[in-house]
Amino acid sequence: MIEIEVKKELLGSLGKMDLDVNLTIEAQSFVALSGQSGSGKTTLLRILAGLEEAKGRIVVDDEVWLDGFKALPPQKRGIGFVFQDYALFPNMSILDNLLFVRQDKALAKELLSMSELLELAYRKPATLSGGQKQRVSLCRAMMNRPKLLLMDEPLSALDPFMRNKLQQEILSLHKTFGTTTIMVSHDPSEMYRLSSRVVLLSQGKVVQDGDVKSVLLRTQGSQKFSFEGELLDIIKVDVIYIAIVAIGQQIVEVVLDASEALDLQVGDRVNIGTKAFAPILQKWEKK
Amino acid sequence: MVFEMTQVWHPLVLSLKTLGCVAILLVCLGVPLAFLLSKEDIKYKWFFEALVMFPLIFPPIAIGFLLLLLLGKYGWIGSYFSALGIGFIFEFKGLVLAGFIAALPLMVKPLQSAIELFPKSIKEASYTSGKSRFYTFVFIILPCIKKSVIAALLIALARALGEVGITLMLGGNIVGKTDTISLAIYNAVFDGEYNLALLLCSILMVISLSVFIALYFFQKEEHPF
Repeated sequence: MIEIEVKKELLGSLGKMDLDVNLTIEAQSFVALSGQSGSGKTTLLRILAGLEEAKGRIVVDDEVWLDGFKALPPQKRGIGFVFQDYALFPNMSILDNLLFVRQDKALAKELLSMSELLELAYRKPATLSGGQKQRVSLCRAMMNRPKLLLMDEPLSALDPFMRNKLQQEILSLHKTFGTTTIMVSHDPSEMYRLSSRVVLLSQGKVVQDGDVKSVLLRTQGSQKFSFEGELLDIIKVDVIYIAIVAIGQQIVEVVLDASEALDLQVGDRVNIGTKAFAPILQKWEKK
Repeated sequence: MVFEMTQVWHPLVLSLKTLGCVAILLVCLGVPLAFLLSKEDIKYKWFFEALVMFPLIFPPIAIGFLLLLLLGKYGWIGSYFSALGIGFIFEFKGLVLAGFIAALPLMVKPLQSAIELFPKSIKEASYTSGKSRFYTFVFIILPCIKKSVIAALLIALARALGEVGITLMLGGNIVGKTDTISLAIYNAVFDGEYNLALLLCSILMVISLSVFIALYFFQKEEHPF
């Protein structure tokens, strides 16, 4: 069990703000930390790692990591940290990157074979693709059998296919080792697949905290089929209007009447919803 | 004009010996100094940086004079050493010290910035793996910036090879004892032995050219991070 109670003054995009977070995290759980950029997610993760100073209290399994301003250095916390930019040691081979953390060849080989990296064990990081590098980084973070695994947007630099693959790997690692994990993420599908709990930060405060569905499902009223999007354009065609809306990576057209179009402006964040009586779900590509 | 070969090889060997000692000092003291100065939270950082940079901006002959006052037999520091039987003035040790002081800023400054520019996340990855700052420096940072270390060392040694001002003051330019190759050129010209000066010059040119070629190879792009 991890008890977190931290305070820190941050310089955000809207000037000064206070990071003020109170959380209790169950052992072996997988928590996703989400929120807009500048909301303090990464800072919170770095405070947990001991890479940034803060005031407060962090207790992990009866071990005090932070008490007031007195902090246990990152070296003594027994954590695994996965960086967004991989941060592999460029002067060492993949295997040595893992062995640097702990001289445990058996574990290193087990982790590498779980991630299908055993063939690349003697290659240098510079010769690997982004996805491979991040898998190595993940394996390295698991090397000292951490009490807490911290991941800072680990998959954000990868293409959707690679992301999918790595999500599966993260999941299987989590199942195998049962490491308590906190991951910063922006991707709802990623959070849905991996985490059991989502904590939403805004301006340094927790604004939502709950299971994945309660935080991520954005349904209003009786609408059951609802998407958030950005209004890209409104085109007048005869007496009706056609709105072009971007939802995630998709662009859709929606017909509006004049009264609906009246108070909409290009660039607005909008919600497209309908009562989902019988939406048709069709497969268009095999996994 | 005729000159003896000892007039050539003696200053050459003396200079190479001096450079060897300076190189050892630069590696043993310059590298750790660069590491210490790259710390963000070091107290009086500006003062130590200014102290290291001093020989680069202050005229060498004046530094030589100040060192002469400090290290002389009755000087502030020299008196302690002379009590122990160690003297710097007009000695080989003086030459080494002169070369070291002149070369230090050129070794420390580029190294310091190479260490400071080293990607923060890689250092932090090492810290979260349980490794100390020093361990990280020795096993991660230093191997990654080794080309910068060698390049900085070469430039610093080139500076030490050409060092005249401090060397003149501390070493005394005693022919056959403390006349390094640069000083030997001065002496040869002073005595009108232009051929000797030319020969010594061409030796320096060969050395400088090799340093230049070596630099070309070592300053090429280092590891892509």
